[in-house]
Amino acid sequence: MSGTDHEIEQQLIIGAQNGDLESFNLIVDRYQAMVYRVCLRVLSDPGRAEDATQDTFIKAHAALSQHHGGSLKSWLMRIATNRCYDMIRAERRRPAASLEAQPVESEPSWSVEPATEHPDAYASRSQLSAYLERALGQLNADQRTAVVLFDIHGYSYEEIAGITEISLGSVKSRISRGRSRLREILRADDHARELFDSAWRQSDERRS
Amino acid sequence: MSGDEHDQHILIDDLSAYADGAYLSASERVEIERHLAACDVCRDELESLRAVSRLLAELPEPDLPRSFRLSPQDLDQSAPEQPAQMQPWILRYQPVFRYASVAAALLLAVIVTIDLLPGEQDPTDEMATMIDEPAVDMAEEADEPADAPGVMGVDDRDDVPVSEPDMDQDVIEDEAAESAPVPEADRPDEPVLEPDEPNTDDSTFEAAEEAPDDADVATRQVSDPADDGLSRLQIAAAILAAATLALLLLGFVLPRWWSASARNPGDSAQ
Repeated sequence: MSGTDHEIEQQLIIGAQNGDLESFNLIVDRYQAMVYRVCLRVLSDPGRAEDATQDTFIKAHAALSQHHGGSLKSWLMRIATNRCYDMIRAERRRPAASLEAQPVESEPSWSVEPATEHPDAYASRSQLSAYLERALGQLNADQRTAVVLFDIHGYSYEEIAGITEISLGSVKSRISRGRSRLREILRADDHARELFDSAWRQSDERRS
Repeated sequence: MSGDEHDQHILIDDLSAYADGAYLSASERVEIERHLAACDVCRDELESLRAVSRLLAELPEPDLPRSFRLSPQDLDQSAPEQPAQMQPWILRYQPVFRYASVAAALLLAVIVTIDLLPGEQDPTDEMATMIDEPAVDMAEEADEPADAPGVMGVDDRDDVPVSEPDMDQDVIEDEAAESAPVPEADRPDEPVLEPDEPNTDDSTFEAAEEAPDDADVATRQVSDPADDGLSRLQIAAAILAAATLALLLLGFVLPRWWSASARNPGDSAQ
């Protein structure tokens, strides 16, 4: 299945390289959700994530002739993370409008999910998700990008090393530091700590 | 790491990698497992890291705000340098004209000063060789118009004609040709009137077309020995005055008029 899928993708790439916009838009259809979600988590801002996603596909379209083989998914993700880094750097140069200066939303507007579980369990889990989203926004961009790509989107260490152009050892340490920092941030708040500790001890008991 | 829990705990980087089930050698993994079997602290550490991972994976997936399919308009917008190519030459060379007009004015001031100095006959011949393209030399030095007076000082005059023009020669020579008739006094005003015509390019070219007959006269005047009443310096000053005026027009008046007339049709088209 993945073989045919890969072949379809190659045909779309060739079509887009030959100037067929519909072929390119079929590629957009495949990857826009992933690109947008990574941008959203890395930038912590829906508006800027939308801009970064649009920029990513415009740039990808312009640069598609330079894509020779290799994973299209990783190639797109490299364009997207570079764009996000540029935006973060530009933001840092304007201290008045920095992320830190903005009030942190108690619950990000995008973390809404229908209640399919027991109301209490759902309430505490969605609260914990909100704490975690907020904690993610407090990581530095390098750790956040590595954690988002690995834990949320399932990229391998090797793929992340290629996307962010760092060594495997750096990927390993960014993921590890990012996770332990998230844990610290969650434990710094009494309510979040309670939710977090019960969440992992529950699963621990379930396992044993 | 001999299984004694009071021994060194496992490094967080290794625990995190162990949780991901990779990026450790077989022997490293065996050692970690032996330590974990005896150390509650590291086991808790591992479990809490795994919990962070799992909670991240379970975060609700945000919806797409819209489709990011590209339209042909998106591609037009991203096409580079489109507006720059559509810019007419009069706007593109506007800075050159502006610097050149300043430089020509400064040169004019220097020549007039020299002319007013008593008993300085020698410089006239040398000046005559450069009056053909005074504005061109100055245009080359347009980056630093302030230097012009120093360079053109009485002592350094000899250096000036040596530097040959190599840029915008056609344009500026047209200016010189166009401005040549100025000694006959009434002509400098004509270009001012022309902006009333609808199309700048046309009007500018018309001006250039009118010029040649007069330019010939001017060239003859310049090449003639200055036996008549006017000294070569005075002719040069007059030509320079006209060139300054023309450059001022090209650098300041015409571009403004052009952008105004270009904007209006655009507005009405909307």
